[in-house]
Amino acid sequence: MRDLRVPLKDAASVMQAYPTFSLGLKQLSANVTMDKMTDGIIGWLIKRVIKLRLG
Amino acid sequence: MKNSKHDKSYQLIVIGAGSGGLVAAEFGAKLGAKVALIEATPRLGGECLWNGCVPSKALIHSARAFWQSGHSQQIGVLTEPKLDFNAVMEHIQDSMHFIEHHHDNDEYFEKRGVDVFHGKAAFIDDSTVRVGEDIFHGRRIIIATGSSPAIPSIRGLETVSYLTNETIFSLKKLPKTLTVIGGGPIGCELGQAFAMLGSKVTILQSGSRLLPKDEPEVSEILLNQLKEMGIQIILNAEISAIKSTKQGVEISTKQRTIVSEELLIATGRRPNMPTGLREIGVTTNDQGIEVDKRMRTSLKTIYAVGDCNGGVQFTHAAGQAVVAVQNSLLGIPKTFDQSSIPWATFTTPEIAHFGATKGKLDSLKQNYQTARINFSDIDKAVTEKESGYIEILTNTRGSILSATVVGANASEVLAKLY
Ligand SMILES: Cc1cc2nc3c(=O)[nH]c(=O)nc-3n(C[C@H](O)[C@H](O)[C@H](O)COP(=O)(O)OP(=O)(O)OC[C@H]3O[C@@H](n4cnc5c(N)ncnc54)[C@H](O)[C@@H]3O)c2cc1C
Repeated sequence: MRDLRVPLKDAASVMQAYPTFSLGLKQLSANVTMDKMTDGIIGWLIKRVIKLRLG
Repeated sequence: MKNSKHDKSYQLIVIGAGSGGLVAAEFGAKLGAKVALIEATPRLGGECLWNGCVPSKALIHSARAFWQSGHSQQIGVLTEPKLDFNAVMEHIQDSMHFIEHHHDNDEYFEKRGVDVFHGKAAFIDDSTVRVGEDIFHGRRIIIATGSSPAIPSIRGLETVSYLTNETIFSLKKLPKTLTVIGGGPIGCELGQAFAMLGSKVTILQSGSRLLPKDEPEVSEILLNQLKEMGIQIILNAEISAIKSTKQGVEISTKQRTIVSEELLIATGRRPNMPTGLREIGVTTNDQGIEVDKRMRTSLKTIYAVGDCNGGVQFTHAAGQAVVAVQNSLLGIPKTFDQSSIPWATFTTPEIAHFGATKGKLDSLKQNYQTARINFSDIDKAVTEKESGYIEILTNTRGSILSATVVGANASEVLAKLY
């Protein structure tokens, strides 16, 4: 089965002509990916990086 | 909404709550940063929601439905449609307000951890902006202030009343006659929509073809379609003067003189630049705020995204604000390649494209092969009496360089390709 998630780099930048119905599909898999990533250990790491860089 | 008169400190300040700013603010907050979003007007959404994509696509939807119901004899449908222009305008308003209430509002963003403020931001230094009496300090600042209609300097234009994309969606009645200055995507989309609704439309285009950024073949197809619908097109139009008369606005061109009830100016966009930007040392030019591929301005704490940076002006291009967020918050050297950005023009026929045109590839002396299918070879198109084509340019190894789709649902078809 195909995974609904996309690589994080693609999830962050959904590049598709606006406004289209199919944009909804890309948005959906991007949202699922982002939620998974930013809630877990990667999310914690990202917050640490921001804190270290920007105080 | 917060409104105290104290200094406020943030990891990220986003200026402008349009397509780019909203994406930047939400993404920044999702990554866990402390984010302030500052919007000059009382409402979020920017040009796309209130004066651009959303009202224009809502108008086009009504216009196409009206036009098609009166032009479907070939498939056995004989009707004489009636138009309720007020209801068309209500449909436009409803669409915008639905989106506003659904996700483009203060509450939605506040819930996601973004502090939203309303007021015009002006720069004090590379990490400080003023909004009224409030001072905001930001470790990083993303400018997403968009663009406004560019008004050409034509003798007499300032003496007549004219429409732009900021006013046309508030018309109270359908103009009997409409002249559009500008044959780019906005001029063609709106001109055709009004013609479909029943206005007698003239489009004046200064260049030798419509949609100059698309393939010449596309311009030709659209030109013929618009003419077939009764739209008068004047190419290479040289407008010498405009004045107000009893019958309406009179536009004198080298070719002929046109009088129309309404005049729409659709001659491109000019960037909105926050006050103080140049004074603090950010480099700008006529197109907008200068940025590199990482969307960094000449000052390392400040980024600029969307229409204000003079790049390609689309909602999804402004959405590449995520690149600026990744660079500014995480130091990830992400870049935004504008050369392969897709776009769609919602005329009939619909037009969608990404990548370099043939002319561009020729000028780069790049070899390419053409793969093409006409709609006459697509059964679904035949059953719906649709004409058009899909054309893909590949390099000699077969990798896709660019694509053009013309015809029904072109924008959706293009989405399959990347
Ligand atoms: C008629 C029309 C149809 C269009 N159709 C499409 C389409 O179908 N598809 C597509 O992709 N694109 C379309 N576009 C283009 C699209 O609307 C823009 O590319 C997009 O809105 C740009 O987003 P942005 O974030 O750069 O700017 P904007 O959406 O313009 O947002 C900028 C925001 O910044 C605010 N602002 C300005 N200055 C300040 C300041 N100093 N302080 C605080 N806030 C400030 C403004 O009030 C505004 O809310 C269309 C445009 C028009 C005009």
